[in-house]
Amino acid sequence: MPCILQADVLENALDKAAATGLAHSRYWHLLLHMPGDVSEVDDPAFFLAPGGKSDAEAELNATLTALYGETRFDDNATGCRFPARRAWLQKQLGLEGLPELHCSAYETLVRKMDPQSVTLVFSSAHINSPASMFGHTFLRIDSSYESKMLSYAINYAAGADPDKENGVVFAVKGLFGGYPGFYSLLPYYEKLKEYRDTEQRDVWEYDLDLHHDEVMAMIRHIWELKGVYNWYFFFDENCSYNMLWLMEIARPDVDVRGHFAYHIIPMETVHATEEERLVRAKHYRPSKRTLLLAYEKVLDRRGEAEAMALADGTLAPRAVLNDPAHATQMKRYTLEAASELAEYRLMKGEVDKATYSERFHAILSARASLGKGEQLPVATPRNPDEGHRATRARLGTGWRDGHPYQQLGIRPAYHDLGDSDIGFMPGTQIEFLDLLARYDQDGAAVERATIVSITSLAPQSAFFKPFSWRMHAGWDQNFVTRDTVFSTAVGAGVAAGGSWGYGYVLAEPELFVTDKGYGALKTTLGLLFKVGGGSKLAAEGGYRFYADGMRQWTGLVEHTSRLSQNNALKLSFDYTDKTAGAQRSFSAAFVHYY
Amino acid sequence: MKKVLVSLAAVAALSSAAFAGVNSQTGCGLGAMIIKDDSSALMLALQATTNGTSANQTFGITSGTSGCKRMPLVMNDRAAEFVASNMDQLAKEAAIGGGESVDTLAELLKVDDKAAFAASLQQNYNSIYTSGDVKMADVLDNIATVEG
Repeated sequence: MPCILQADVLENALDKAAATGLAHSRYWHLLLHMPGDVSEVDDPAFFLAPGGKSDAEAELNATLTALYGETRFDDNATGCRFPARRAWLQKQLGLEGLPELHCSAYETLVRKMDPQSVTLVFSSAHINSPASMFGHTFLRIDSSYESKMLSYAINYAAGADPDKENGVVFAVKGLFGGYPGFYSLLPYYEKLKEYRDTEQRDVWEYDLDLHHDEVMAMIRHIWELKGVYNWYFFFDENCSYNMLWLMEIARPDVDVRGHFAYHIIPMETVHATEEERLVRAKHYRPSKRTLLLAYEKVLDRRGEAEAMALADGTLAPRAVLNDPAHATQMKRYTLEAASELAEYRLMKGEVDKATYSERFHAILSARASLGKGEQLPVATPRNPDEGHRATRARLGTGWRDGHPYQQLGIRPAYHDLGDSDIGFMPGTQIEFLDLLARYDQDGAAVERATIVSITSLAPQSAFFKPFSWRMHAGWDQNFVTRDTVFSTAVGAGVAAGGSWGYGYVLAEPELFVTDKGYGALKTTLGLLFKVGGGSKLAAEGGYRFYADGMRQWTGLVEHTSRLSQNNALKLSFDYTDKTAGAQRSFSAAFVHYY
Repeated sequence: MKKVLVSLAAVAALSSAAFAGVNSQTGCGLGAMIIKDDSSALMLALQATTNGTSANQTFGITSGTSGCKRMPLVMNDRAAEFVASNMDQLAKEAAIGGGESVDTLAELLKVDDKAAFAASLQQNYNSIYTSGDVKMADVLDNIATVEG
């Protein structure tokens, strides 16, 4: 008898689903991660129907059939494995007589996470690491605990261990889908240790305006994604993109994915989330590096030197406590900075664990003896959401050696030294596929076609002595002839700066690909002045030594006026020695970011 | 693409010193971070293309203690997990006299007066953090003694 009854209700449910076209509804497609007709989930374990990856209707019918035909009623049940599908179908079809289940693993997770609200977390660039310059996003599920450290982070990452792979293979596979990507769930404090402390990345939090029901819908779906893989693609199906599904599952009438066509830059997902009015509050967590730079600001030279000596073990904490030249607050800051530096040395592998532990303990013990002091002032930088958008269009006009020309440019991603620093880490540049075309009396020509260009100018300070470097590959008009020539260059040097801006010196070996192929070495001196309001003046002079004895001066001065978040005016003067004589260009261009 | 990668490799070779030793830290205990300082610069540079993670961590709901042995004294699991995973941060904040981790621990231990708790940790620093290699259970034990 019950069997026939089950068959009847299943039949009814299938009929009703077919009649209402449920399999074609937006939400079912969201649950299947199906932007069109094919799901982005690549793991067969995610589908109940044989062709479920590309057949939403078969998958829906198979799901209903499995839900009514459960043979196990514990964690192995279909309903326990797919709580979001079960809950949604139940609501849509008013399903009767579904078997009762005991999903203890899922319930344990929910009890432990105690989900109340959701925050989108953006970890900004890690200085000197080019790929990280795009940043990273993940979601944080907040509980009823007041402390956000006890929240859980939902992350999406390629299931690859970079230590076990050849670097180039790792990169290629990361770019083109060679790794399975997995959602993961970890305590937020673990993520903070990873991004804020070890990788020295400032962390920005955007609290989302989701109600408890919406949060629970997201949690049910996250459970469905446990251990399920999608092939990972750096440009589109990446960490940030895969968070967007979760937001839409929570609130299906937002369309965050709709803001993206073919490549997804983490910060752009924050912009999209804000445009969909999902953000209700913002918070900032300085990285360990930012903290150390803040200590440099409050310490005098003696304090800086003492902090470094303490961290290196060449000075005993007692010497600081007994130093009559220092006020108590300066001693507190010195010891606090020393403890941060000691940790930093450990992370860089400059000291072994046992030595570090002893040193760290002695420093903190001395610090504790000085009682509560003033809190270190840490300035909050401009929020990355105030920065310009990723894609840049450029329209300009100019004169080259007395002849007028027009220019038109497009750059899909993302930021260069001349662009306003508001919301970006100063001194970083990461450009892909920058294209600039010129039209003059001789017709149209490609002035510049960059494949990739990365710069990391990291000013030296008391505590940090980083390298600066840059690399470039693409076509431009820097060669001694007036042709557009392919070149690639990789250089390194040092940078120093202050509140005025920064300067840098680089040595760059270059290779020009012509019919012969030319090697050259360029030495560069650059200066970048902050003008105020996000505007800046950049000047760079270079002298290039070609392998065959040719020499060449180059010079560039560019003023960028930030008109608004996404509009700027650039005035530039460009000088290049050519075999046919010096070439001088002056141009004025309007740039718009979107 | 190949040129790009070759160039990236060259960048990496030039700047490997600047990159040394940054990687994920997991696990527990005072400063028990997994330092993979042999990671080549290129790997590091490209890590963020995938935000690579080892697959054994995908759903670490209780992973605050992965790699830890459960200590004998546990006031509550959550507090033990938290202390084990945040030993260094807690030590720093205890010495300074407060911070988010100290507040978090106060919340986990259901201490009402967080400011007094922080002040007490600072005053009794040497009785709580008795040595450089003190263990999570001892820290909790010592806190219990001090607060008791």
